[in-house]
Amino acid sequence: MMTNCDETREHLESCDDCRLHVVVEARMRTLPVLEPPKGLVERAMKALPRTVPVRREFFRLAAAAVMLIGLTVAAFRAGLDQSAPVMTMKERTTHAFETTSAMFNAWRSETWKQ
Amino acid sequence: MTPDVPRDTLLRARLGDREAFRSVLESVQKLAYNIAYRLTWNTTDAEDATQEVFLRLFRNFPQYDPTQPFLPWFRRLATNCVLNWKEKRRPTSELPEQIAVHDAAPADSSERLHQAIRELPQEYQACVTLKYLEDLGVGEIAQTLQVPVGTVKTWLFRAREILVQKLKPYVETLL
Repeated sequence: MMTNCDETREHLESCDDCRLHVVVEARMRTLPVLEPPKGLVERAMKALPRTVPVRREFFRLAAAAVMLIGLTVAAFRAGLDQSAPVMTMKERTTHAFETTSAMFNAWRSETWKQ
Repeated sequence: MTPDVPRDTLLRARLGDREAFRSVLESVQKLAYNIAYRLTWNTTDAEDATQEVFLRLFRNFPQYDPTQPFLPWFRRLATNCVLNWKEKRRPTSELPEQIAVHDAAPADSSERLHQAIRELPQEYQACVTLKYLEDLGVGEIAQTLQVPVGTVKTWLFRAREILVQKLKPYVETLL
């Protein structure tokens, strides 16, 4: 009685195309796995940047939050200050931007000190 | 081939611990180097591409979700990184000596097979590498290359067909 295995073997002996498929498949599975060169990790470690990777999004969000808070505070102050001379919209905007820039620069210099 | 990276090491490496990161590199270097080698077929290029993979891993580690398995994420990063590295390098990589090596008649059956794989389109090479190096199923390859499963099946089928056609004249030497 012929088993499936015998039938396959018999077919492979007579069919060049199928034999080639099997051979290529077998050769692909036995391609050598190489050992990495010595010192690969050491070289990689030396080439790494010194800083700890931090998501750029974090800095972008932090900067946006500081700007927003600064603008809000500046606008609120300008609105509450009744004794101050009446300012045009242009002056108010300039004042708000100056306050925000000062706050942002102060925050940035604090961050760099850390 | 599949490395085992302890979870606490991964978590520390993700937070910037350099010693933990070194341990991760030690664990994945063989996988990364072999992916790079099978996509470049050149030991010098493979080493350069592996260094690029490690640098990309360092930069992208914060994006790794520790609730997910590390290896599929790393495999995707490594494969994409090597493919991008090859793409960027293409104009300068076609040096005369390399062309000479590629065009020279292969000395033996292994070299014939390597050359046939090297001449496959890039996406077929990536599929073949992941299938035969890591023994991944089509689902995992699709996940790694971020393409549909049907596309992976087509690429693998076509890659095998091309290889068989190219190696047909040398069938006896392959046995």
